[in-house]
Amino acid sequence: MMRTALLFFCLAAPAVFACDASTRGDGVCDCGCGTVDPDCGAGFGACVRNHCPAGQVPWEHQPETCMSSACGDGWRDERTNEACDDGDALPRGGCSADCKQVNPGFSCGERAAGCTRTGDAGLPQAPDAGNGMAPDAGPAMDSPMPRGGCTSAPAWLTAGALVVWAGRRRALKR
Amino acid sequence: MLAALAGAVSACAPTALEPDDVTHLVPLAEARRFPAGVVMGREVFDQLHPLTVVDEPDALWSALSVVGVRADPCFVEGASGAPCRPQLRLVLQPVMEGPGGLTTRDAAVHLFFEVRSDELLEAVETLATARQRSGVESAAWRSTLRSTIERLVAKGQRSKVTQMSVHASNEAWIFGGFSLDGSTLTAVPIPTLGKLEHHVTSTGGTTRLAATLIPGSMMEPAFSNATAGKGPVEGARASLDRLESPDAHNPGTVDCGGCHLASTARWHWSTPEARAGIDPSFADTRNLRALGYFFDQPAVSPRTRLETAASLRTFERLQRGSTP
Repeated sequence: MMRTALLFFCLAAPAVFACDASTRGDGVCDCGCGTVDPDCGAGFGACVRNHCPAGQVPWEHQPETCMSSACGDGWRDERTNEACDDGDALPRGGCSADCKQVNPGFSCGERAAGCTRTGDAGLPQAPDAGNGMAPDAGPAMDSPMPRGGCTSAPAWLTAGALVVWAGRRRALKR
Repeated sequence: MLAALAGAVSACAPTALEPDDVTHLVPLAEARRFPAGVVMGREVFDQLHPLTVVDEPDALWSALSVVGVRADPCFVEGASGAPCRPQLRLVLQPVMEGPGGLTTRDAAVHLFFEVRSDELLEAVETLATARQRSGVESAAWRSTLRSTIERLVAKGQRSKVTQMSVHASNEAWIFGGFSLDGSTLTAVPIPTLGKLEHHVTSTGGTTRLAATLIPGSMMEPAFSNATAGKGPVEGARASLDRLESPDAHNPGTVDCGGCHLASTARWHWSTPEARAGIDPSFADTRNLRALGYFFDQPAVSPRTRLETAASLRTFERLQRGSTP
């Protein structure tokens, strides 16, 4: 029951899960990392890095596809001495333009969605949602532009969605 | 006497047209002096997907330049029997200063203008006359090109925008299209796919074709399977021929990704001898250009060359007073 409620909440949250209806449930995992796309195999929707060979990372917009690692791809690559990667090669957001330095007031994990603001205790710990248009000040959000397809979801909602999908898959297996 | 007669005949003869008059790749230095702001508003640009993840929007906007011009007197979009209409298409890319001089980002915007047939023909003849007088390398011709385009754009109706945005590693792209009502963009489904985005990846570098079209081509599945290594190349050659032929496919009958992958597929599926006539820039499997620049290398696809030849024939018919 709770899972059903959570599932409804996730799918009915277009402001975050801006995945176009024609893209979700079409047999192709192309909604983007962290989005609710039933087409993604277990783990792919959340972007599992290690399914890609060395030197490659999942494409943020298509998690099952592996691309060459580069600054701005949303993945921190230790082999190229990246300290962070917030999904763009711009100075704003959680990470410097060359991905060598975490910007003051941010803490970054392995993925773009892992860059969170830490400097202002009065603000919620809003994630930096990948290659969105987040300004340095205030909670990071994906671009409000009328994108045709999908955008990344902040990690704090992704986690809920994953619980739902994991539960759903288990239920289907039973 | 004979010379005078020849002169009189020449004065009555229609202006001889050449490919440069209908399809033109603008040199990068010249393109830099032809910014996007001349042909579209910033408000239109701001509604597009970010073209790259490595540039600030302001930097992209100021770098976005007209690099290609196409005049099509009979643009068809749809299945056989669809009516054709005259169209001006402008190709824009971000042109930036690189370590070795001017270069481009591997992203593009196409702007489509509905124009009147007689005005398009007049524009093409104006360019042809200027070319005959001073050559396409001259400042005079380039000035004529720009003023002619500006005049057409002012008279025409901007109808559609398409775009190709690039991933950080330059190995993945998102294609999409929008209808334009004034300055308002509305995403339109990609023909045959019914989706608003077409994702394309190409990771084989210069050694092999390893590309994906997602979703796969509905109209030419043999092609998309072969590019991904999931089907035989031999079985996909007919698909490739159709993708490059303006008689077989147009932008209304096939997805964008398939057309844009065709040129590098042609290169990699051909013998070295058969590659003559194909721009060598297509040896790099990341080059998806139809008309534009692959970084600093000019790239004109085989399909664009065939479309140009067809446009030339149609303009010549119009000069003789026939309909397209």
